[in-house]
Amino acid sequence: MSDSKKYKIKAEKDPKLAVKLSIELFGKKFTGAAEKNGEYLNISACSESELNIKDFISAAADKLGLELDIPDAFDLSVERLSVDYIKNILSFECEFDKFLRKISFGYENKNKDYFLGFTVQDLNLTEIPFISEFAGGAKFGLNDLSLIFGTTAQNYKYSSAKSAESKSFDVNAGLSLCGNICGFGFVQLLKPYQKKVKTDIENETALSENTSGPTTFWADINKKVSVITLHRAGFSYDNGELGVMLDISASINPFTVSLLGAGLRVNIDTKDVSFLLSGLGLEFDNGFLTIGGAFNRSGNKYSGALTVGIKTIKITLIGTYEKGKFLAYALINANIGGPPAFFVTGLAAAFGCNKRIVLPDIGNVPDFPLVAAAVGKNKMNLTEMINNLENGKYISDQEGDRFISAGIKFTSFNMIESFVLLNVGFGSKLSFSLLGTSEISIPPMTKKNPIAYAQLALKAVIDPSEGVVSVQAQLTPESYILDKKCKLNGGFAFFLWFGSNPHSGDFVLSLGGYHPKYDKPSHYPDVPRIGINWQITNQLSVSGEAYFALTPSCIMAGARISALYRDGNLKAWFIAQADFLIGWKPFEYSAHLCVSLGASYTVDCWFIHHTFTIELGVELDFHGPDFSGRARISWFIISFTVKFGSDKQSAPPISYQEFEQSFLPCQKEKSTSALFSVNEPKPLTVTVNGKILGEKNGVKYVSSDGLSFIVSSAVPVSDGTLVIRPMKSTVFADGKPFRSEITFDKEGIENYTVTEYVRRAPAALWGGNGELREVTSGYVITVNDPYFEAFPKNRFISLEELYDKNIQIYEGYKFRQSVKTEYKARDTIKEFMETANNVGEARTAFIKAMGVIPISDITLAVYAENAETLFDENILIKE
Amino acid sequence: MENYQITTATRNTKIQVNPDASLNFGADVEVFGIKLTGVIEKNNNDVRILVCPTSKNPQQDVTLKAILGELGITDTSQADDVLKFVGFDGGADKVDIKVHQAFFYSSNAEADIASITVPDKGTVKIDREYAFSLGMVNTFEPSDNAKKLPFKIDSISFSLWNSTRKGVVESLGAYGIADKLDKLSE
Repeated sequence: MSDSKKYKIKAEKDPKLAVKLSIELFGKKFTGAAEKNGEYLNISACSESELNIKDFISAAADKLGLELDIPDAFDLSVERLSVDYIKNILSFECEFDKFLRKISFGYENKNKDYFLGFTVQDLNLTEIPFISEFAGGAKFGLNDLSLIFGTTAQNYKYSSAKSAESKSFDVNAGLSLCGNICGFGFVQLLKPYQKKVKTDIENETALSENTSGPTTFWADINKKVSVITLHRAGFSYDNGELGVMLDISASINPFTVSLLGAGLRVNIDTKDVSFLLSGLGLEFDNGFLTIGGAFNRSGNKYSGALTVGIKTIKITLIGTYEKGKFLAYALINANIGGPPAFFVTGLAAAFGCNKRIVLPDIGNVPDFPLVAAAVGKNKMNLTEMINNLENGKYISDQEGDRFISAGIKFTSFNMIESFVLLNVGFGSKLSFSLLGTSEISIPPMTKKNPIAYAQLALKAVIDPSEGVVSVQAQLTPESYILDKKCKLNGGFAFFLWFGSNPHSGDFVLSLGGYHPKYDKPSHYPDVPRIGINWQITNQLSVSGEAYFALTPSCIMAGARISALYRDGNLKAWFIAQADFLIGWKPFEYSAHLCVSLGASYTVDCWFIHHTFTIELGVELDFHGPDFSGRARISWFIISFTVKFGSDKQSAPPISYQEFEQSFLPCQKEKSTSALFSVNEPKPLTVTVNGKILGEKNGVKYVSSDGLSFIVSSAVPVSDGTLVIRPMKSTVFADGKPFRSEITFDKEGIENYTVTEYVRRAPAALWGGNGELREVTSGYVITVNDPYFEAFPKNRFISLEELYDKNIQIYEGYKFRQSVKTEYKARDTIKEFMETANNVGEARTAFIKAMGVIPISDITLAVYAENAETLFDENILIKE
Repeated sequence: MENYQITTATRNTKIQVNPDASLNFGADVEVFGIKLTGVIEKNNNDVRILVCPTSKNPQQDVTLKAILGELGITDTSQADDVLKFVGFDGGADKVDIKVHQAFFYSSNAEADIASITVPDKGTVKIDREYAFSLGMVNTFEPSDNAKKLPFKIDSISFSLWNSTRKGVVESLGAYGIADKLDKLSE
């Protein structure tokens, strides 16, 4: 220490400093490095001791307010668990050498989103007995099969067990099944997540269903490997056993063999493996004779299909049954006959018990199973038909609901093939729907590369409970003319709202959509433009489109045609467009017409970057009233605008009488003159909801039980002054303000409950922001639940009255005639005191006869002795 | 057993071992003025020292800033940010530390380590690896930010290292988040 000379250590390697935090997370101790990154405190920590995954996730769920039901099978311990908290996202994953390979958990602290994922070991599917023989030497496996539940869309990262390569799946919010089969990645959203308080729980239940019930979740694959087609892969969990299944078929002419639910089930703890096969299908089709059958059992659900055909006649029957839920489908393909315009080539019928049809969007009508089975683009085998019917997407289980469907398949002049299916749903609600498709090929009936092909999907719905009538038609994306790159598209829609629907009275008819500047209400359907889009060459494209729409307040129409040529830096175009919009109440119109022809060339040489444009364009806008507008001429050397008329663009206000006649509901009333009738505005409506008991002298009587009235006004009830937008005023011509009030006599109101009736009213009529706003427009008057007073306080009911007059108290209590007993006035209490001890033997015999063996003698001596004080009334003793 | 005194950095370094012997023996050492007990292993010219706190002698309070300064680390902003976030406002220069565990490794293949000539001033290049696990003595009240985290912070410690030896890094928990993320993405 004496020869002190100072020097600095200069280490060859840079020193590092890390701040370590010891934390307590869900009851467990962790230690790890922490750093500050912007607003975030990031931590990467390891557990200080061994912990149990199930307990840890359960504790996490409790702490975070998640309702997760982690099965006992995940009762797995790890020596050390790494936890990361990076950018407010808490996550961990742990790997095992068991069949369950990995568990991942993530939680985002800010938005309270989370995910939970399970990945199982890779499976060599050709080791499964049925499939190994089926595959004929081909090998394929199911890799990285993962079940993921998340409350938000995410990129689920995982390391492939096969190659240790980092991969990921993009999954949506909800429950998803993903994996790789034969190199094909698949992600199937099994149940979407809806961020509502109650739905959270439902979704947790969905996860619970997956992990604790026998439910199998399926992901569509539809990939073909040689003669084998992989239709879908399934994942199930039941009582500690994970199952992986495949639907697979092989076609070797003239046979098609299908396996349903072929796979294996592995016990997570013991690794015991059992093989599965839930169904089998076999079809023979040599063009002349068709015969086939399929049967499938999945849990308690049984499905079967049968098909028989000779030449052009083919009958297919499909049925499914599960605990009172029944679905049957029959399809006959045969040239039944008819006029050339309506030559029937097939019939279909379906019936569902405890089933409900979930109508597809117009774009998905060709995929609707009852339609696809009849006119599917690709010929389906029986097992595919069964799967389509069972998948629950379009035909769901619904206790108490039923439906009947009838379909007809026909051709028109041998050019158009059509199929329409009428569905009637009843049970909890009545609804009518029509689904169908029409196909045209030129040359007629050409299946391979016709020069023109169009498929039109049709959907019509009458739903009285929702108050909607709708008719929609739309060309499917397969439609083309001349060339497959010359796409035809377009749609038609007619919607009418009535009854209790908040848009009651509104309607829309649209062919090809709406005016570009029209602010489409959200309840109006989206309708694609009718048009053609042709990419003739890589450089040249031509498109044309048109539309027409009619609503209660306006009519609109327009068209556009364009040609575009682009080759490198050279561009040339021709565009012609016209749009018209006419509105009434208040009346206004506007039009936009333009034509543009031009070319441009972009010079991009060294430091010179410039686009030279030559264009001749004419644009005309006019509107009114008053008629006014502008015309603009654009030429590459000169451009100018000519204005005409006044600048005033707003439409004049309408009068109250006009508003009343146009926008308030009317009822035709007889006038004093016999020659004509007038439409009187009836803004107030009274709706009675109750059980009709009968009718007397033209007056209907309803039960007071559950009775309610809705008194509603087409005019919103106003707190203050009412705004009527089409009149652009808040006052009448005489200066009195608009007001709308509903008053009722409050006499006897204690027997009723009165609540406000709120509906959505168009802001265009009654002011406010947006399209609709909630307004009070009346009251709901509900009769209070009847109070059953078995023993009225205001009068005395004697026993004689009860027995003899058979009285009813609020229909709640009624003595049946059969129990009527003769009543005689006698002192039965005294009688009891005197005889109670004398009937011991008879009493014991009675008790024994009732199946009770008394362990000692029963005596009523004390009871009889004190009977006078114990009883207030005479007791009933049968004579 | 003969006791050897070792000091580092600004203090004199005096290692008195026979350069030809392979030895492994216990020693009481002083690191940054803190008395520690440990094992010294000498193999030819390599001297490896593993030290840990002794319970016999209470540790002196040493600030984190002082140790960092000894090792030439001047930027403590990252540590200051974390300390401030969790509720300790003083920064690294107010942190009193105690040594949980330490590792030294010195190697000088060209010269006998016992005969290093120390210049009057300047720098001597010595390939020297080290790793420390340091505990924070101070107490602190968690900040509002810390209370919003989904976990509870029990205590704060520090890792200070330049060693890349896997065993050392793992046993002393010497890693930062970037190291961990790099490892995960490998």
